[in-house]
Amino acid sequence: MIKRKILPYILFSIVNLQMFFSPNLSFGVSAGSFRDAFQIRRDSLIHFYVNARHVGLDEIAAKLRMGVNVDSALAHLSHLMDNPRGDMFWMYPFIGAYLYGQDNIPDSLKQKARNVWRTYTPYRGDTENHWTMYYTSLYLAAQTWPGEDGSQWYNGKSSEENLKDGEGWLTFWMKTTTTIGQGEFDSPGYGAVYLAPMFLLHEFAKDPVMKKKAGMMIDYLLADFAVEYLKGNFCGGHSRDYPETVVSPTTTAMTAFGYLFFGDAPFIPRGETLFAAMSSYKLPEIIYRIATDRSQPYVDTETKRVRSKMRHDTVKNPPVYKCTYMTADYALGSLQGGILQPIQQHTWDVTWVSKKVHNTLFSIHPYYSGYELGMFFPEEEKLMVDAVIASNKPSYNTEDKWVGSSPYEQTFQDHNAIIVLYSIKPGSNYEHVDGFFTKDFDERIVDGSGWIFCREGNVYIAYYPLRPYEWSEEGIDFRLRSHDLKNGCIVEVSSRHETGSFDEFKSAILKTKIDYRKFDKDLTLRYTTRSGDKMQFTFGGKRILNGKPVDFKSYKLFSGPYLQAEVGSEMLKMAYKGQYRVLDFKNATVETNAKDE
Amino acid sequence: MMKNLHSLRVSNAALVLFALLIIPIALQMAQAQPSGQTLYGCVINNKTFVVGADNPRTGLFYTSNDGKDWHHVGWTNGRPFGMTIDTSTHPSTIYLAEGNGVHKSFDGGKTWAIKTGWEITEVQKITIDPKNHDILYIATPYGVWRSTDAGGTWARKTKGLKEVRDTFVTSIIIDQSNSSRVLISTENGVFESTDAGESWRAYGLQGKAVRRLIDGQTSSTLLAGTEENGVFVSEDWGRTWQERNGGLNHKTVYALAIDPNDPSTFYAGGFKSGVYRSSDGGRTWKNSTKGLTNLDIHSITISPKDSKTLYVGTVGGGVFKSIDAGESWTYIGLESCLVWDLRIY
Repeated sequence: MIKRKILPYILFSIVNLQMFFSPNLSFGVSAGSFRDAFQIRRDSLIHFYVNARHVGLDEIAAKLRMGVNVDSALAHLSHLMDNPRGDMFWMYPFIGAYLYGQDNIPDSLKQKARNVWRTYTPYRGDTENHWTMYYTSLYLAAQTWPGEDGSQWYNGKSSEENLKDGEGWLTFWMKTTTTIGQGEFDSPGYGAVYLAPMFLLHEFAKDPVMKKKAGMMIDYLLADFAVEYLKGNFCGGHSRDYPETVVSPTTTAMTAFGYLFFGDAPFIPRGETLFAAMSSYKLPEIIYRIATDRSQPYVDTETKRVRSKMRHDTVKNPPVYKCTYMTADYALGSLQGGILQPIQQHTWDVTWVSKKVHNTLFSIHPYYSGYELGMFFPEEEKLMVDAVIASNKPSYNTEDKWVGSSPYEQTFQDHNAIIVLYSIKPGSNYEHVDGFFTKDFDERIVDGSGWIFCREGNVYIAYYPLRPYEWSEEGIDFRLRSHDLKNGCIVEVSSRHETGSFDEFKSAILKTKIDYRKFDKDLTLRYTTRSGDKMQFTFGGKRILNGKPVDFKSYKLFSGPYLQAEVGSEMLKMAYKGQYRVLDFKNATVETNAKDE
Repeated sequence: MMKNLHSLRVSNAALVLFALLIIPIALQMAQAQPSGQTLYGCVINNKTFVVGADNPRTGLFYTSNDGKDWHHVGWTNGRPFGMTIDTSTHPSTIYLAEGNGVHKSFDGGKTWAIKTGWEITEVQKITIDPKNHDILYIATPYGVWRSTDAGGTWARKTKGLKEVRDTFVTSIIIDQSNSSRVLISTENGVFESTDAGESWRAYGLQGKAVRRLIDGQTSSTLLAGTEENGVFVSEDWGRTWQERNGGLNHKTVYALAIDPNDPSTFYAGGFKSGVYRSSDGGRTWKNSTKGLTNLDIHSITISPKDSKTLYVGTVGGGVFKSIDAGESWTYIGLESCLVWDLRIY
């Protein structure tokens, strides 16, 4: 029984591993072969679900769509309608299964499905991903059963009112995202539950404008993913990540999208990707190229936005500033620091291409407080920490957690170098800084100079802790812990391709200059990088690069060789070696010079 | 005669048929809308609540026999932060201030409709204009919204409020003698509107996070419960405020009540506080925890029939009752529930 369940997974993993480790798979691939390879993965994914013995709505959707095992799929669908649960997580695969399978669903079951929208009362939730799933589902359901009054819907609204409500949120979310950035931005987990509803909307919305905009949002979200994508890794800072995936970045829901669309990631069966695979959406080649061409390193900067604030500010959605340096072997990425998202923020990391799973390094101040939660949730501040722990975030108040924001953490990144500073308020939870050093490193050398040199394969990392620390060995990592309240680290990253041997890298690092004469006084650090850039950073003060202050306010929505967008523009321009694609959400138009579209 | 007999038989049959049809409906209605004094509890959580998970039942519960039997009405996965009932309609109209908007029932809880659109979320309180029951105000973390058509449409009313700093609204009270005059409590003190919410001005306690604002109904007394600053009392309906915390050792206050028969008797409860009682207008407070197995108090209500009878809703410990003006307490149900609001109608 177990063998039957995992056999398809093993088979697909073998197929995928071959693709994953094929050298230069993504370079010089013709448009035809890129589409052919996608078609193979797409078909494989659908057939995985068609043959799956699990009986979730995803599998039912695949079976009904493909006309395989229809009777048992219908029986399971009927069973799942007897006691719906899961709110929006139930709504979108349910309407997806219905719409994809409607040709194979008999009228009696269609009537039962219709009735569920009268009797089941899904909760709307409190995050933007919840709302996007909820309102997409409601929009499609209202469109499917038009002209019915409020007595026929669980929320007492007519079909037209529900359609309008759904359209209202979706239009608002699209406009806000393309104007001041996504709120739950760049999440390796939650990115998938924005994409899945958009694929359904793109496939089934009858309004041509909504249909087109949904397709454009897929482009937008996938391009946003692609520019920080590295062989299955969603690199850089994230609004939300989970303790399990933050230390194993090729095991996320977005990795599954990497597999489907870009082909160089491990196969992970995720229902969200099934709806992508079954849709008629055609990935623009330019997004594929942006995701897979790492022949030249580049810097991508982005502006995103803080989740809507309720308390402790005067701005509802302050900006988030991202900087990510991408190469063929590794990425270094960061947010500016501070509380930008509750509970699950991931502020900075190094991620590299690896055959191993725990291919990341980062540091964190494991902060928690009712104050932080009070910024974003309406319940009482003093009660929320316990509530969060009792729900599904049990690590929130633990001293050894690996995700979360801190008001006492700030970063300053320059290409492949970063300074991370901590100014921890005495008495706060907690009074230490932790660093994640994976056991997957081939080498971890504590040098007499104070630098810690790490290597995995061809990737080199130098980490300079600014204060004394201790090591503790854990299951997958060595934890660096430092107890000084004024704290921080300097990190530089490189690779064999860039630097030569590991010894050459170490020698170059040892020639860099660290000046922390003013560190004790006002938390100012000066560092001259291997490349000669002069970084000066004061916690709570300026970031100065080669004598010029870094002005975050000048950051665009996207800026880099591949993606460009102005704040407020409702546009995104993709560019790659003479190809371009411009998404204009104001006018719902796409301009491209691609020949195959 | 035969014709008359036949008519009688038909009439009897019709009566029986009518009774068979109506009695179950009437019984259902009786259960949906209890008669007499009924205690309603708004339960936002029960042990845990995770969106999308198979959660324990939440939403609106009521009892008409002091907790011997609790009934549930409406959505089983709702998150009502507050409620109000318009008793001028028959049956009464119930409004719930829910996480996903305003829920309204015209039929005593049998059927419900969400009366707000996607823009309105995390509704904390709902208040009916005493002079015109079509006018409703709701308090949300993103400002005040007003409806002039009993919830059909809503307009955001935040002129004079600074975004985020002033827009987390926790309570709304309306001047009974002049319903254009409205006070709100916010994360940044109390604000007043004299034009039915069209515009607002600071009206005291700025810099203090006011968690609860109530009025005495029969007096000009207002009470404000704050985060970490205890209780403030106004005896001139908000023009001036005095801090009155003598003996109040727990300064985060979520729940307040004023004895309708004795406007100088107050009750307060909050974070890990149990219940406090003051008999001198808040100048001195006495703590009571006897019988309370959960000291996080989020709601207090006084029986309109007997002001020595009180009920408190706790955060994770259900509902407790006192029949001796808060001296001692007895658990009466809703085990492990977070009872955010309690009302008696």
